[in-house]
Amino acid sequence: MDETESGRTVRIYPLTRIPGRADIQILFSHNEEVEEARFRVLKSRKLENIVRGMPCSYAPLILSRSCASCGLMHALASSIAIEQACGVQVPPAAKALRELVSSLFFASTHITNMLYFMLPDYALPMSDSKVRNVFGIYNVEPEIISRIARVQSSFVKAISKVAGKSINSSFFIPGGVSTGVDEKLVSDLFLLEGLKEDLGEILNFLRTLLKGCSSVMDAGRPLRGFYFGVTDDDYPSFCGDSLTFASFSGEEKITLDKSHFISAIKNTQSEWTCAESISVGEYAPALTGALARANLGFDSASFAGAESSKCFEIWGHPFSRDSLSILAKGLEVIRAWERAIEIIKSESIVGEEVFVPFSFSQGTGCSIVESPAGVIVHEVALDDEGFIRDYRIATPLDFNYQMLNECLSNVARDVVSGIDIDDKESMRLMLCVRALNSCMV
Amino acid sequence: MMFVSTAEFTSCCGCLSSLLEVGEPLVSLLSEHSVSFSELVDFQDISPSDVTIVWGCIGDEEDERIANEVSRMSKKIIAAGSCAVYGGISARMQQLPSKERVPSSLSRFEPVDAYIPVDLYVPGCPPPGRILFEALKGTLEDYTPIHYDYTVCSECKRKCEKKHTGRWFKRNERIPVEGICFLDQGFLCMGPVTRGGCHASCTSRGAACIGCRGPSDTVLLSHLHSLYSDMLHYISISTTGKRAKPEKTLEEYIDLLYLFTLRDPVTKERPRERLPRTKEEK
Repeated sequence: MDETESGRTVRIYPLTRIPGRADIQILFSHNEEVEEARFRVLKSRKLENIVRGMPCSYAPLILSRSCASCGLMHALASSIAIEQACGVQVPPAAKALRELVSSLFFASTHITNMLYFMLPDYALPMSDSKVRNVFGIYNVEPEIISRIARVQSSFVKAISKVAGKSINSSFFIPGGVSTGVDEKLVSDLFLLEGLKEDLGEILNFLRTLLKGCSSVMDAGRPLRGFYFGVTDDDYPSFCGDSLTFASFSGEEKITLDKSHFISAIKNTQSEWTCAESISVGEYAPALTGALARANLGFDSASFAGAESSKCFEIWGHPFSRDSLSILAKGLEVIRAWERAIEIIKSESIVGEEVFVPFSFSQGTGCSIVESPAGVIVHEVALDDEGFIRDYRIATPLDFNYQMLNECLSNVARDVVSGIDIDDKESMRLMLCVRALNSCMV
Repeated sequence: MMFVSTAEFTSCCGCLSSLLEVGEPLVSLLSEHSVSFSELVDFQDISPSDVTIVWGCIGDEEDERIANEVSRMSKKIIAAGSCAVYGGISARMQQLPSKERVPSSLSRFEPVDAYIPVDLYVPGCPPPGRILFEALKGTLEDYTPIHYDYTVCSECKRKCEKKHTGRWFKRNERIPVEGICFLDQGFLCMGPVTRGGCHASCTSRGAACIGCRGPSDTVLLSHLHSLYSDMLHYISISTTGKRAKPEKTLEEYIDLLYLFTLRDPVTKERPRERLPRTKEEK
């Protein structure tokens, strides 16, 4: 605890059940009331700094290692940015394979995140911190943990079959994908169809947990500001043509094309963390990620759309509590699975041509794609031999930073009763971080 | 029951994700033991542990402090992933001016054994989950996990005739033929110098090996301990044409060759090794 002229500062460190190293600072007034809570990222490698001067073909390989939670999507974003800089059009089968692998990756990442990081807050909210983890849940409810882990394993195997590796795969390359799929592989992928019942059960489990979790659900105030995501025909998409913003207060949706979105981006470097904060024009604060995408809504004719409607009936639309993020992830797993099955059935992934050879040329490229944690932007400038002159990345954390800190401050004002922060109070604050940002490395 | 723990230094958390992909066998194994500190549980205060898996390289003073504490409290330490074993991709940050590092206190980017003793190395970016899991299980149950002393080529099903023409291609220029060795077709592939165990997962899906499992035993036990030298030797003996000198070709790929090791392959003696050129030298 630090004491300054303006009051006292208490630090919660290290944060647990999150990837990366971060802390929470709580600033108290002299009469021990919470003034503000700050989420501080303590480390960010910014791998884009090391790709400058390298051949651009290395960028997807290196930048996929920026963050495991979003790795494959960084590789995709990097490949698309380079393609744009070089004027490359990717074959349809490659696009379909990219979407298939991205869908499977979303499902796998969300399940890993839910199972190991988020679930203990909801399944064991009143338990001692020593048992509040996935192993603690496994000891009392082994069936559901086994079920979730089995589903996770199915997605991981499917990614590995198509992309070689499930993490840091070299499958997405500028010009397309590294190889196609044959009929045998496609028939193997059809096994994923059998997951429907498991996915429905997992969602039911999440709904049951949330209904019984008032201590977690009631803290803080509803989120204010905007949520947004990449969209195609108004629905969330991995790399659609536009970005849709909507307000938590329920005003009409606004759709921006990509160039307007990029020109509206404004970076601010915070004095108290190494992370940058990005705002988009007048849409501030704005949230990206699973909660935002679920709020934007899935096709009502789809399984995920129908399940979303049931959830909105209970908790209202839009989801405006950080604690509903786990439900949004559950819904998105279903949507990702459903989309993967649609692609497999459409046979659009079976095609001779999955890569187009091309020459490097001087130019700039920009890509905007969705990752499990939210929107990522890659901007690249190449010289005429294909070497990288400049590279910039905007991450979901950058976009969410303002919203996350506002939410954290609200939760802190609501649950923290004094400078001696107890386990339950710190747990609730960390839940806010886990809910609104699942990647911070 | 034993005490197990994990500690993360400067990393992308890919190694943790890889281990978590093991799923139920991992949860079941760790439920039989006690997790003393980890990012998977709500207590990270470093306490006595029988086995600790560490991932990431040592990036700053805080990493060094944690590493020393972990070393003091743990009976055995497993270094998982290329960053922990070699410095990994992060090690390239060493070549950047400090103003480009975030935060600027990140300055070291060294493998873990530069600071503390390591009992078992599990390289990979990330290591396959099953290998990481076996390393953990073997250490807990006191058996020796498999040592993958063969190369990626040993697991690769592509046909190799060592008939490279001496003409080289970049991946953007042409489509590799399925089923034929990448090197035979003139694409740089690091399979001959890279540790196996990955089931050649990249080459089986149309991507040349980029060496993420680190140097093979052959490289580490060779006279020069050098990826460059061994790769050069392999290309020389498998090239039938004389169109281009392999040294010149490898110069172009030097960043790729040392993507995960920067300069120091894994032996404790810190062997002589060819350094990649710095930006200024280029």
